[in-house]
Amino acid sequence: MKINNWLMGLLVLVLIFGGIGGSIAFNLWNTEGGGSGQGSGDSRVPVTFKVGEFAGEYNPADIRGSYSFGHISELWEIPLTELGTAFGLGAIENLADFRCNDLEAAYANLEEDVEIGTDSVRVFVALYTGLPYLLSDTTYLPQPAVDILKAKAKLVEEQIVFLDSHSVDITGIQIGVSVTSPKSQQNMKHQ
Amino acid sequence: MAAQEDSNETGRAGKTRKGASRRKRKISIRTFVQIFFFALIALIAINHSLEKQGVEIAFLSSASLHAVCPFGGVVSIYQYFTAGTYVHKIHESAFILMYIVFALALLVGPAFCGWACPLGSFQEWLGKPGRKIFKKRFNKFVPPKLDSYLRYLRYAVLIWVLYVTATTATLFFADYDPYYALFNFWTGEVAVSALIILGVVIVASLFVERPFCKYACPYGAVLGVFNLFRIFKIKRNVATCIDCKACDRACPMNIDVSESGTVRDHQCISCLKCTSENSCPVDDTVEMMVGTLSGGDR
Repeated sequence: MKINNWLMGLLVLVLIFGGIGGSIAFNLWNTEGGGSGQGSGDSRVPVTFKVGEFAGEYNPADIRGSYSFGHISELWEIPLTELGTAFGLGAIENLADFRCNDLEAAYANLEEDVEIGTDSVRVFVALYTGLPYLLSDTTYLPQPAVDILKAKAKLVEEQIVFLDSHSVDITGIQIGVSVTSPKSQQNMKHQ
Repeated sequence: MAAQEDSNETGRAGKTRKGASRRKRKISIRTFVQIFFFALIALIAINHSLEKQGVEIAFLSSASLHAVCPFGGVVSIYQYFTAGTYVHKIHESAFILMYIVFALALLVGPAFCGWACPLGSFQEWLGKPGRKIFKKRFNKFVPPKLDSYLRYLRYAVLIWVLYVTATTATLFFADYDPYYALFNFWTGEVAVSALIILGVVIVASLFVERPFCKYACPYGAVLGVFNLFRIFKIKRNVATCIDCKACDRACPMNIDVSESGTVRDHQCISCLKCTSENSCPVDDTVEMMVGTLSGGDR
């Protein structure tokens, strides 16, 4: 059997789009946040650690940009107000709807190479709950988050050193808050 | 006897003309598929940008480029099987595409590179003016000895990408990826390093066909391995080959098809340019097929 141009073109198109169509039919196709967990948006359940002393616990590494602070608060049992204070969002009325995605925009005015975003939330949740997480040199946390962690979390020396070198003093920083939750499209500025 | 030879010559010439007459029409099928995938990815990338501004093109995915890149699945393998999660910005879709492209490669080799990859097509199109300018010198600027070593560079890139992605759990290659830069240069999210590499690829494409594919593409490195055991193989019929080397000249990856019975070169992109349907002047002499050619192949 030979493959000619027509057959090859057809094979490429049918296999790629047939595969995509099949995965959509079986509800496997997902191009947005939520990673490998089940469900979507705030119904999504993150993956759990499979082995070791934390087996069965939700893995903070699976926190996606689409996760709201309310959802994270429920899953990892962190008081919502504490999350808000940690990320300088204490004054927001609809904090539960605030998504990790919105953090990057909120802290868009930071200096270059310093980013507070979804990974900052992962680090905060992991350290707050004592769950394992690989600390990345490019991830920063607001100073209030560092203060909360130092006061309430059981940190090892290496983690304290990391926090001291990866904290951002947000005093006086203009935080542009834009909540993209479908429930609430309110915009507000927070000093 | 002489009459029979004349008849054979006529037969071969007949076959040759037949092959040549089909050439132009059939090449355009691949070009059509390439344009389709290039336009699709470009529109998805534009739609992703528009979505952030609250606008969206209807009936078109607004997924991020990472979500529709099968290489995202490859770099996520380690994290997926050790932690059960994907690398940041990678989703199920990238994994599914990875499996689809692997299945395609198992059948016919890296056809994804030769038919669908928008960056590969982009380099190929840039090479057309280069070919007109440099004529026979085009695609022959790199000395063969150096070229033969550089061809393995993409495996080093692959190991580097897999290692750093596994240890940092971030999609760090986006900062060096000309594909990401090509479809996101207007967003302000592209690292300067990626833009510089894209610039180098653009300039190099005027001298060498598909330079990134040949020397640096980590995904091409992965798919190239399938050439060793793909089900449908490029085969040359030694008995009918007239040794004109048209297949060698047509190959964008500089593979010496005329010296192979079966092409197992890790650089083949299954573009079919070397086949009797496209460049070989003798029918049924260079084919992608399963089984053996009547005249024998090695």
